[in-house]
Amino acid sequence: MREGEILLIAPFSREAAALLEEQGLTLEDLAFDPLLENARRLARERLIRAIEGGTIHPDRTNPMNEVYAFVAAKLIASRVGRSMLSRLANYEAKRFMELSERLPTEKLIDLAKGTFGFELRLEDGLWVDVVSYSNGCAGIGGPKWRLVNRVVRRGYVLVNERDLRRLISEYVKMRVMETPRVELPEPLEEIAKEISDMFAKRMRKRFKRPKKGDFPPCIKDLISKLRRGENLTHQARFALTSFLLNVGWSEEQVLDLFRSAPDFNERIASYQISHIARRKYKAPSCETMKNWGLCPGDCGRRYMLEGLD
Amino acid sequence: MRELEILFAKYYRSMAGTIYVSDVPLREFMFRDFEGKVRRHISFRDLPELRRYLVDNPPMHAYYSVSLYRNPTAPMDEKEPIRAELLFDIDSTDFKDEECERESIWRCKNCGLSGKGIPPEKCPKCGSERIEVNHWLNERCISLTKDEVRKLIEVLSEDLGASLDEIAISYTGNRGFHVRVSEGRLTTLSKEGRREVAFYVMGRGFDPTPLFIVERGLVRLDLRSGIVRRALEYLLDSSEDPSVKEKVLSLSKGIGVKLSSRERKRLLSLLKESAQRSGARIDWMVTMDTGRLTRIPNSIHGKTGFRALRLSLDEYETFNPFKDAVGLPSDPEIKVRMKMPVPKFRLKGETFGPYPPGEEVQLPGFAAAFVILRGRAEPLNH
Repeated sequence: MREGEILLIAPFSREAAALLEEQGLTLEDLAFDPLLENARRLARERLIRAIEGGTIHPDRTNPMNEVYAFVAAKLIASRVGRSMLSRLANYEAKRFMELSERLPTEKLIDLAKGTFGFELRLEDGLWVDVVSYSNGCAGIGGPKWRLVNRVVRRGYVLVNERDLRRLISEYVKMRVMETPRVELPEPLEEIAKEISDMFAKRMRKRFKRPKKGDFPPCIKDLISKLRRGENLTHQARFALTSFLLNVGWSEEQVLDLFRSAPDFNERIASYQISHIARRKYKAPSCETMKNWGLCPGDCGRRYMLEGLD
Repeated sequence: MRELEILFAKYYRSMAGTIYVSDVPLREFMFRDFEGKVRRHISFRDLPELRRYLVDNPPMHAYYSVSLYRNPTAPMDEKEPIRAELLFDIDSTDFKDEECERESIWRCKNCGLSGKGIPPEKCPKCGSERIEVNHWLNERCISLTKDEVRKLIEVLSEDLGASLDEIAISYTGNRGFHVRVSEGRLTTLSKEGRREVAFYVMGRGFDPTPLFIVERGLVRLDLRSGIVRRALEYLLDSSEDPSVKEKVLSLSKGIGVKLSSRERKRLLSLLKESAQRSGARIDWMVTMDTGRLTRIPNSIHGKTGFRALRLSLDEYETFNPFKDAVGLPSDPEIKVRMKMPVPKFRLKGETFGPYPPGEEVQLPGFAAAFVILRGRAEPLNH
């Protein structure tokens, strides 16, 4: 691996943070330093990609620029709002997933340990401590990821390298979401305004605010998560879509609701929604919702549609 | 309730020294008094201050937060949690066991129909779901929950890596136990992470498909998984079908077996079921809830008058709440009138009852408190 490659792949890493600290980089530097013009341009590009999707081309000539751009993009996204930050978090996670494919195992392990505090063991396979695993897998859908379907021994969970990368990418997401919201100096604020407009335009079509009725708390939860721009698991999306279609929402209305999902992709979403509509899937039972971990507590209903016309 | 207050006050005067909560200044406390008034978001500087409070204001119920907070007295969203004990609640009320519920009395709030035993989901007469239940508790309720504690501790230590000195067991003071991991890495689990762990100990959502290993047409199971091993063991003990037993025996030795797709499907569903049966029956919502307040160990439970006794790993097996957890004094005696039938019960080696409704009887303080707090009798004021 080339010098600085880790900074390119993981601008969120401890190494990157240590370099930033060493250089004593300030918000003012980030905003005004003429030498960082390229980093600001990259930050803007990052944010545009986060909104519009697309492939990733890191700046290989100067890996440190990726780090500056990462930091600037986080601060700008946070300034724009939670939904935008969530978009960026998702983008960074995906970016890491793609670029980390060529990271050697030991580097990956260093990153998990040093940057995210994982405890790892390498005997008879690759093992992640149960807490790091559980806190990370909670955001990933599917039975394969549930702790209950994993080999767990003496506080460690058996994973493969791809699993480890996926877990790290969840932590990247969480880390980005922790970015504080601060006032920005003019040049960065300008980018924030531009991004904010672009994001708003992209989101304009959503929220006709269809009637909510007295939806069960699990559904209200999912809707407010979406509105906050948080990602939902596959099962959560299915539950929400099948429920809403069942209470009479149109496919278009459901699609609009999903527009605020950070990884929203119109083509895929509309295909999935119309698939659920065509097959006339019923909303999941309360039992299933509990199994999926989507039931926030006993609401007294026996099934989701209880009490709704 | 004046009489009961005297009993509780006497208990805390003599026993406050046994109350122990770690990290007192970082916890939130909550108390409910005998008028039903609740005080929340309370904090104490240290353990002696908490103990003094209990002596000066003996509560009917005393709770503390499983979470440690930077600001324990602040409103919920400003408390700033640091970490939280990993709590498991095992309550026989959730088990719907015939013997445990034998003396429980239910009543339909709609039509007034009542009966004894496991409460129905719906009133058999009018179909209403508004059923109120007056639970009783007996030795069976306790032995059932002990089984679950045993399973839980095995999973916590063998699979989840909790060291035995980080695990604390306490009797809830009513129909079950609390098991908590109070130190170590597991206390840093997020809410969602706790759900993963809760489902793991329950075997809930278990799908062994990823744990099947197919080699040269033979199927093996990954025996490194604790859930798989326990499910196979359970299946071996419980299955009556010799062909299933034979295959399960091979699988549990790590030997590959030939399975038709029908057999494979059947085995999958048997394993799913066995995983849940060999898992511990806990209330997972309690485990997930890091904002939870839970009974202070060694305080008195306001629905029984029993001590929510802290128990060591050796003690809980032989623990008998009807002997060991009776904490209220016998003096003063209290005269009570039964409002509902009270079955025969033993406390501190003494047998009481049965008493029909309407019967008036003078009882030692702890026994009177028990029937009053269970809602089956009322004190007679002289």
